[in-house]
Amino acid sequence: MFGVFETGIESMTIGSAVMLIIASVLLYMAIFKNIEPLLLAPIGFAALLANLPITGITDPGGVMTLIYVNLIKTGIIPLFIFLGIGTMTDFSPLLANPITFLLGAAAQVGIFVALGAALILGFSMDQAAAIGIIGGADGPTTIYVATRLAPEILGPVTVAAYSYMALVPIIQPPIIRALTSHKDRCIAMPKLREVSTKEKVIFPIVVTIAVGMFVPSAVPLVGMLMLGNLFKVSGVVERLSKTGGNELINICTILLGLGIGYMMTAERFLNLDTLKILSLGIVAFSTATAGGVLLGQLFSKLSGGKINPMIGSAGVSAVPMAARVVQKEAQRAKPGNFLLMQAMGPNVAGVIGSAVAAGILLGLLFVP
Amino acid sequence: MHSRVPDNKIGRRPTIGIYATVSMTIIIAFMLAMAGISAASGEEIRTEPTLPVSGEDFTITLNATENSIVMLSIENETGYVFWSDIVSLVNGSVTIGPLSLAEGNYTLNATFWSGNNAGLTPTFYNKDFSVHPPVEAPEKYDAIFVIVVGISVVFSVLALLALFTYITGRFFPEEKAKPVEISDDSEKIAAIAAAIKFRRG
Repeated sequence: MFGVFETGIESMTIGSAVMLIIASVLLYMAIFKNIEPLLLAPIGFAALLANLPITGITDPGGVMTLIYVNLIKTGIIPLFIFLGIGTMTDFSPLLANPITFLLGAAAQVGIFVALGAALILGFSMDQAAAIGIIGGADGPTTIYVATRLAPEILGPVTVAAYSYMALVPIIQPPIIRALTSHKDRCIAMPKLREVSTKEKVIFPIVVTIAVGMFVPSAVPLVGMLMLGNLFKVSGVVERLSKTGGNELINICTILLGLGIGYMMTAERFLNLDTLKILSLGIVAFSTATAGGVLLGQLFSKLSGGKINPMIGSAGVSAVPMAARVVQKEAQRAKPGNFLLMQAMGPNVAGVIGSAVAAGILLGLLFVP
Repeated sequence: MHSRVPDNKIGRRPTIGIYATVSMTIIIAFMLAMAGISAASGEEIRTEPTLPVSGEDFTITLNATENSIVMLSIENETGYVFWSDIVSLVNGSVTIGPLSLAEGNYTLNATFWSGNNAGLTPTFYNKDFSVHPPVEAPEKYDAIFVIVVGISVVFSVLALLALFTYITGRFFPEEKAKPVEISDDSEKIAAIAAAIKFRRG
């Protein structure tokens, strides 16, 4: 400008302008619609920063590049977020009703259905795996897998994962109603038993050892989740537990948003693949919900109608939205029917299930 | 009296000096000849990589020993010249490119336009070359295998965890609520009761 220095105006491209609009939409969703604000606000603003021309912020050595290369691509931030999630997760409903582990497993079917669909649409196996994991409805897991298998699609995969997690209350109810009768939805379940402190303490240790033995590649995710949970349930490291669930996860969330925004430049985001990924995200979430409900139906039949099949849909590990959806549907079918705690069992099982599924995909496909 | 003529006088018998001079002359002549041959073969042209792949960078490197101008061209298998360039060399090498070529067979031509070699062609290392499609690494596992193994292992591991959890629950059952201890507060309660009684009294 004025022959003194270069401005961004003459360097602006149509792609950058479109991305600024998309960044504004993400900010609108986060701030005014309260859709996953903790993630979409930093991601939206970071996308805005990344698409302002000639700022150098995404150049080699730029702050967003440094965050992405050193903290996101290495997997450090998603893993620390998982630790933070562990400090905030109560596995008691799962411990009280261990059979719900299988409902959490059934909902992971969505991952593999979406993987197959992505392959049909022409994605490579690594990309298909990264897209499929959206069905796990677990943000850090999705980011962890995408950075390892297909970093080139990290931006759209992350946006799809977090957007659909926020849309669980809209996506799930029609599927639940389609696969259950009114009578099914009215089934009341008994109150869960109390779980002893010893059980709670032993659980993270046993899970870590068992997963380490059978799916070693899932240990970074499951191990961090369980470490955080051990902080919480042991009761002897309250400071660490509070730090994991507050300062650590908050700092990591900010850095995660900036790192994801780095990948949301026009040349990476504005292409047909992004639309395909967003479509496949719906497939992943829908089939995951359906998988959980169908196994719930089977359990209901086998138990003589003692299990409400709806709780299977909470196996989609969007905690606690998926469990809340079940509660809302139960209340809608029969006021006074409380299923929230029963649905939290498959819900937290889904967190472990998606981490295990991610570990399997990484074990099969990731080449360091 | 005649003086004796030494035996080693030049003109009469070959001496060591003559042998040395001739030998040095031959050596120098040989070295000059070799240098001349070397100079003559100093101009060469090569493409990198020697087995180019479509979509990957492709360069042409030309070495020369003197200032010259060279015309380069690449023609495809139908003889169509789809790329040409004129480059000048100043006692060294020049690299042209990177170019990106599609799959197919190509011929590289080069002609000196100036210098002692004007009208000649440099020595080609790979005048005719083929550009191959990129070799895609085969997928480690096919889709069906990944899906079947994935679903099976997720169910197996979570079923195992369910079993462990069930067993743990049996070994460490629900803790019974501890009886409320009131002994520590009994004195306070008695004092409060006494105070209330005192006020009423």
